[in-house]
Amino acid sequence: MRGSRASTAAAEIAPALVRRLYDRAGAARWGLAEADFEASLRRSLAHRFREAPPSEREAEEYLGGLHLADLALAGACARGSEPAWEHFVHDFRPALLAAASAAGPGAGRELADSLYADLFGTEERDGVRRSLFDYFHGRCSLNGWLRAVLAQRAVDRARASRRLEPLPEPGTPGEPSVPAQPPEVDRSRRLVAVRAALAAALQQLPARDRLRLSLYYARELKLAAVGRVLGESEATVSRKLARCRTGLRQEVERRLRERHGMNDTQVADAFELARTDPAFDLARALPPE
Amino acid sequence: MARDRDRDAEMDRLLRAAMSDGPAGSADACPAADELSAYVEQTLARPEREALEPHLASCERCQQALAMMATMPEPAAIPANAPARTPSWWLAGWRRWLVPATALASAAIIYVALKPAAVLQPNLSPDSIVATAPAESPTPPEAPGTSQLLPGKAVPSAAQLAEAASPRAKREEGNEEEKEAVNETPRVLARTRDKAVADRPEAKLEAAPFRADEAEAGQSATLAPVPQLAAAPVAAPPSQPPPSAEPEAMAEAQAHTAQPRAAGGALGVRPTRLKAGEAAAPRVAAPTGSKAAADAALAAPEQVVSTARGEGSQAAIVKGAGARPLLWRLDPGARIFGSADAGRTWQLQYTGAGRLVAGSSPSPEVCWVVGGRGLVLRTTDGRTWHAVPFPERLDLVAVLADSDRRATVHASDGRRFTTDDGGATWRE
Repeated sequence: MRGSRASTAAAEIAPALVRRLYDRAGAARWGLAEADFEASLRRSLAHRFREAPPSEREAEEYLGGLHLADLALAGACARGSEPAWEHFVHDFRPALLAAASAAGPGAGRELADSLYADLFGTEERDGVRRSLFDYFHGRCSLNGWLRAVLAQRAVDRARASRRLEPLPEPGTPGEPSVPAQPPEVDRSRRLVAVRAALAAALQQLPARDRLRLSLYYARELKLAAVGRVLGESEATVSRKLARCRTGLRQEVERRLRERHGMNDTQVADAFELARTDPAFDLARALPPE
Repeated sequence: MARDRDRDAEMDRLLRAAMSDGPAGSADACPAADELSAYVEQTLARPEREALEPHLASCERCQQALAMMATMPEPAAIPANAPARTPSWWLAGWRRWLVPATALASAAIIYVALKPAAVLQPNLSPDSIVATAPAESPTPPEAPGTSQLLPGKAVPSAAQLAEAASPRAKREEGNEEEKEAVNETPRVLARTRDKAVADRPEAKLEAAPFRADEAEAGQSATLAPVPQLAAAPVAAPPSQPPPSAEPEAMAEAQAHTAQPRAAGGALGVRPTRLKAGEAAAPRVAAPTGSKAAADAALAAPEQVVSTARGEGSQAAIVKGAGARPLLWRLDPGARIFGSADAGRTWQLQYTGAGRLVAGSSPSPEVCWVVGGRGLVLRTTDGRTWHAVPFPERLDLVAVLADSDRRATVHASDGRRFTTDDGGATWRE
């Protein structure tokens, strides 16, 4: 589904439906023409149903579930409607600025500057000014979309700068110390066993559970923040994490016993070894999907 | 059983060590921002969500974006027009023409601020200041009592400032209907005094008593918190030329008004002087005012304009409801002055400790005011103020009152508290 930019022709939208949605969106408030609003609806429909045009009922259900007011506002802003911009600046500015600050004081400012310029549309294509608003399809709230755009840009910027950081020279203090003696064979073997067992156990988990674990352990989000991402309560997140941990432990222990012939003591030692070994990095052991 | 718990704890530590770097990455393309946001907002259909989750579970980039989104402040927790979160860079184009507009608001505020307790009797009618003072006149008429104290340097008149500052303001001068609509809307007018003006002793000559209708002639000045002033503006040496002496800024301001529409109104915009290097900010065309926007802004619940924090002193004007509204001025020194004659005269109504930041008046004689460290004040007769107990010593930055019983205050940490019983109890 993702990654394909090919868009199929959107299904026809009945004029009566367009009119109804137009009224629901309050698009007239911004002076947005009905034809322009219909174009926004079509674009959203094409974006959602890239693979195959939807049936009439699917299209109606999808369009009816959009954030129509935000879609109309975005469409009006993209077309330079003055009252729409007034409203956008007044109502969305504080949230956008606050969201940008999450990327850091300096970076946040630059990101918001850049985003704002793109929302206005500083580039023209075929003589038409292209606004970032054109990429808002109403599937989420305008506020949420702005936050997502900001977050993606902040992450991309951070990752780009990280790639440009020079690698430490051999022998510099930042380099992990090389053990003077080769590790004992048994220790290495047990580490490899735990790593393989844990990686396999994690791969067996449903994607949602792995995402929950990653957000909690890798991104170090608090339970409440994980819940905000996944739409779960804090208690639910906690309960499901505990269940995952128990399931993972049982699966890793089973694999260590059955595939590596370890007894209870050896399993416990292997766990302890893995936990304290600085080179134990499961992320590198997990193949990308 | 205990052994199982120990093992689970061991697994927790193991996962913490093993997953510290997150997943290595994903081979397929990341979802667009709207899909990511729809996922967080739980508006994706189940098949879509389930199709997306394998990617999210294995993509470091998406997880980082999700994590950042999860730590962003919730929009509902952010009061609209919170000036403390209004960096000057927001509308690069606006500030150019709002800089001189600042002078008009500042001149009005300074006059009031410098003589807060006294009964002020200006010898200029506000109309003459705004509309009829000759633009060529280098020196405006002086207020009695000040001309002897201050050197009679030639400074631009208020009319010159107004004219130079804002073509939009000038356009709207004649729009009496709009002024009336604005006047009838209860709201809070935030005012600060411009350091550029305050630092000049002669600028005090420009000071005129604050009048709501005068300020509303320049809408940008009315609705926009303007830059900070020094706490003690009196007798400070001239440090900067007056705002109107910035031909570049003015030229740009005028040029911007002719450009295509790009951004919204002056609501909450915080005009500041251009600094070196700021030209790199995105250049967008400055918007022009519209009656609909003004009405919408003034009628919006975000009538509460809190003042900026942590940058010195600042005075705010709270306008009461009704056709002949009372005005309250919140001084930095935790003093409240009231005026029943559109700012011609002011009476000290309250003095105390702390910092007053913002107010809201839901009905003619009712006003709520909030400030630092949980300070909440309320008047129900327009004259006497009573402290309202507040459960936490939070810095309060905004208030929106619905009645003398019901009000919602916004704390600096984004939390909101509401009372329905005049402050006896608060709920978050």
